[in-house]
Amino acid sequence: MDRRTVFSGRLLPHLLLAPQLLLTVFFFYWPAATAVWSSLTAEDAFGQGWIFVGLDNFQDLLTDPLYLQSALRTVVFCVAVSVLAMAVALLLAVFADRVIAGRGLYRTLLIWPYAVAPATSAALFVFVLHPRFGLLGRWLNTHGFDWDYTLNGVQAMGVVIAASAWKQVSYNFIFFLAGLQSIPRAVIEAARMDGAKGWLRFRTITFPLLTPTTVFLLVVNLVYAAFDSFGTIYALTQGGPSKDTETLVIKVFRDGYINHDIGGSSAQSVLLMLAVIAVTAVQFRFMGRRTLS
Amino acid sequence: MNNRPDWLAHIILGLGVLLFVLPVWLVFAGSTQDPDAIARGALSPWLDPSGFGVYARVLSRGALGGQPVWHMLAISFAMALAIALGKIAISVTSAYAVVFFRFPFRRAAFWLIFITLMLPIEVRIIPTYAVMADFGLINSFTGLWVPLIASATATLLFRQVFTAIPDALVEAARMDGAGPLRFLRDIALPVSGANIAALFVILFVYGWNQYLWPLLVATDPHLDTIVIGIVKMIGVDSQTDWGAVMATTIIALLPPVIVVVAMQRWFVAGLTEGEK
Amino acid sequence: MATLDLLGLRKSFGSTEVLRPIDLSLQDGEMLVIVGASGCGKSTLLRLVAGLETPNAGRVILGGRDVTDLDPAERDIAMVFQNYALYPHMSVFDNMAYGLKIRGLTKAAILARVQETAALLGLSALLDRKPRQLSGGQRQRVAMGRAIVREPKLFLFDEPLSNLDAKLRVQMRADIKRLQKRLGVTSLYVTHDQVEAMTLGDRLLILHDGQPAQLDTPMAVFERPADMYVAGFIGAPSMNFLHGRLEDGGSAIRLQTGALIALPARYAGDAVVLGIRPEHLHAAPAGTVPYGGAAGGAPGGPDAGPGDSGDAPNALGTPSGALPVAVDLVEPLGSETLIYGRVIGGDDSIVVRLAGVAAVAGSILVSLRAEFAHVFDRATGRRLIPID
Repeated sequence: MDRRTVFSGRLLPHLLLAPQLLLTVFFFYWPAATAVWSSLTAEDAFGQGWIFVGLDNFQDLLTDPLYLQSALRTVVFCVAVSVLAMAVALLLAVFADRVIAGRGLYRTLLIWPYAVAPATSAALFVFVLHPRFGLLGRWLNTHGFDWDYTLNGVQAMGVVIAASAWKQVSYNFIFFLAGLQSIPRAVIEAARMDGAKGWLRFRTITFPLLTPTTVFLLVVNLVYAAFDSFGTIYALTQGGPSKDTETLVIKVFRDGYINHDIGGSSAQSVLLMLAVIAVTAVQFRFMGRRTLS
Repeated sequence: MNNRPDWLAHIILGLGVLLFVLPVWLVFAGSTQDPDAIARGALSPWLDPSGFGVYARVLSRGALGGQPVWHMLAISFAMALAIALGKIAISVTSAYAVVFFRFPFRRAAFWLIFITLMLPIEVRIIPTYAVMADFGLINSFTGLWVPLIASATATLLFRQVFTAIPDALVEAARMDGAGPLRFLRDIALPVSGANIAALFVILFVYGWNQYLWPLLVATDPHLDTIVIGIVKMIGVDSQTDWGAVMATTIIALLPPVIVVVAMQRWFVAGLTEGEK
Repeated sequence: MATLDLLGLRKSFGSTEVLRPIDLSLQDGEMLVIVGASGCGKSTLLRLVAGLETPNAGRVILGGRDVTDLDPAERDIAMVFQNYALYPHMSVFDNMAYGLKIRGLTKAAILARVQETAALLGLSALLDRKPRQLSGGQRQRVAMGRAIVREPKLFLFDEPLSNLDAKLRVQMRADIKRLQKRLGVTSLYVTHDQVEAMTLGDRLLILHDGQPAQLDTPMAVFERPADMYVAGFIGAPSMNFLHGRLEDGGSAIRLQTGALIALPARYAGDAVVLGIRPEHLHAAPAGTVPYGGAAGGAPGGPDAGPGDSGDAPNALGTPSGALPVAVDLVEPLGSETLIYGRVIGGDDSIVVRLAGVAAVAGSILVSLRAEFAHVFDRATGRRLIPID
């Protein structure tokens, strides 16, 4: 939707656009193009140069069990974090909407965790769950439970899921609360008069009316879990023990930066790009391109 | 339902608050305790008032082999501010250009910018690193923040705000003799004030909390942000200065939390604007 | 039998008392309209009956059952909201079926009832639509359908017509009245519109600042308003109030202008207000002697002696005598003409309603039909009863 009244001038708009356009070209399109190009190359046998290998890198990736496991792990991780973070946030939002005394204070106390860095969240969780240094971790071990996420892959996954979800609850809480407050009060009252109480009313009226918010948050959470969680996972487990928490973004980092497999990591980046584009496209389609209006 | 206090709500919300406060409290209390005791696994939830000295120590000297925390704080501040202000600046100007002018390829330019919305930095890290190397920006302060301001979320927001400015306002300003830049400064910007405030909070937190990108692009310890610093400190197992780690963690938390809490109203309004 | 009894209902929000203790009894099948200005407490009263607010004191008895402590869901009451409050994500059919489903009716029973009600309201073709696809009037009917289909003991209407345009409002008003009579369900209807009140109510409750000002049939409220608030509220344009004092043993009023107006009965009191509706005033032929004697009226004020202008009060009913009025504004409406002005010699403003088209000059002589005059005590505002 364009506006009717505009200013005349040719030079000025170009000057105004230039900074962002330039940055976008240099730090988005050029790297993206480079990634695509690199994904189609591999080092030659002597490590001296690059040869074009077409889609070989992709083929290798998609048949590499390590990659596929990492992909599966990522899906499990993303879904678990999203569901956990959204469920807890929804529960808190429902009661924050309902409560009268102290509602401002509760809101503040539930919003501040948004500011915690993913890596910092990991640091906090170390002191809670580490088998030797963490308060709870140590308690578990001294009470007969064999707890060590530095050795047990399943426990490690649980810890990174918890730490990532913990940080994300605030964001979801803010949106769920806004969504709940945008439901007209009279509709809820009409439901009460129709005989719907408590859980029934939530299930048949409130939650369905939250659908746009829920879908939006699901997409945002999935993308967050896939990417922003790098700091949390890397700080807690570095993707270990033995790759048990290595999600795709950790793998890109490890293969590209640490192992210098440019071709392979570029191919991974390209695949990730495609996945994000697909998910975002679905979101815009479903939401009727709200933000684009 | 009106006059009786809602016990269930208070219990659930109270538990929620504790869920977030307790880990932070634990680390805060732990920071005042004896680091050797913690290394032995004796972390306790109680505060030791005699241990506050760790903060002074960590601020001025940092942990073993690490940067003094005041320095890392400064880097984080500078980086977060640069990202917040930089992104707001280029987004305002781009959105303004796209909304208030007509020129060939205007739509194409907008789409070019819009597409970046879809790709977080983590997806393009390696090639972006290569570009930075080409520019000679590895291990430079500029390299820390410049690539992070390229994406389009803020531009979209301002585009929406600017499109909604009533035609009558523009026409009145024009009749008063205001050119495009003056209009931007005197009318368009003030109108977007609340949005700018909200974005500032979001971007400041975003910039402060970066981990992957600074890790890649700056190996020089003098460019360590405080978040990088914390993770580095945890790295070494047996020799970890736990008190320093904990104190630094608390220090790292404070500025973004303060920004969020202080600007809470704008922040929430800005985030949920598209919702209604 | 669904009678409604409200006993001593009181409500405060914080330190503000919104409803003073109210007692009210509705008979089975009666439509009671609660009317008043914004903030008078009428919506609060409705919400107390609905159970959406809890009273600070008092009981609500529906059909002999004390429902005061019950959740709205358990009271068997249906409500039509001002903004309709339809469930946006459900079709018209599901909106109407919702309450029935919760009560556990069989699918067949629900189908039958919803279709029957839809037919009654002309909604049969719209059953699959969602609320956002409906016009305002259609949504209103769905809101009513949702209430009707539940066959409750009591209907509550919360200003249901306020959001409709004028033409639709008139039509729906008639529909609501017809439906209520046909279904015979006891109803409580809240509005600020006095036309709705007059046309829909079997009885009216006029609320003023949380207290009942009058509870009576519409005609009684119109013809015998209990106080100046009710008198000024019902009837448009509002009743005129002319200030003066009782004289002559209470059988005449001396206005501020000095005019002396005979009354059809005797009243006890001192400082009073004469109330007369604009339609009960008419233009006196030119040359009519003003009330109280000399043309232009004596500016001596209400305490000027009776020998002042050398006249005797006019006989009852004779149209002789007039008030001089300075005209401020004339509104020709075609079917009638409204004249806004001030009584010459006094402070009171006055509105006169003349039938048809009238030619009006800068000042006119206005006479009133004394049998339609109301007398109110100036201090309390309450209507004075004749002492004969």
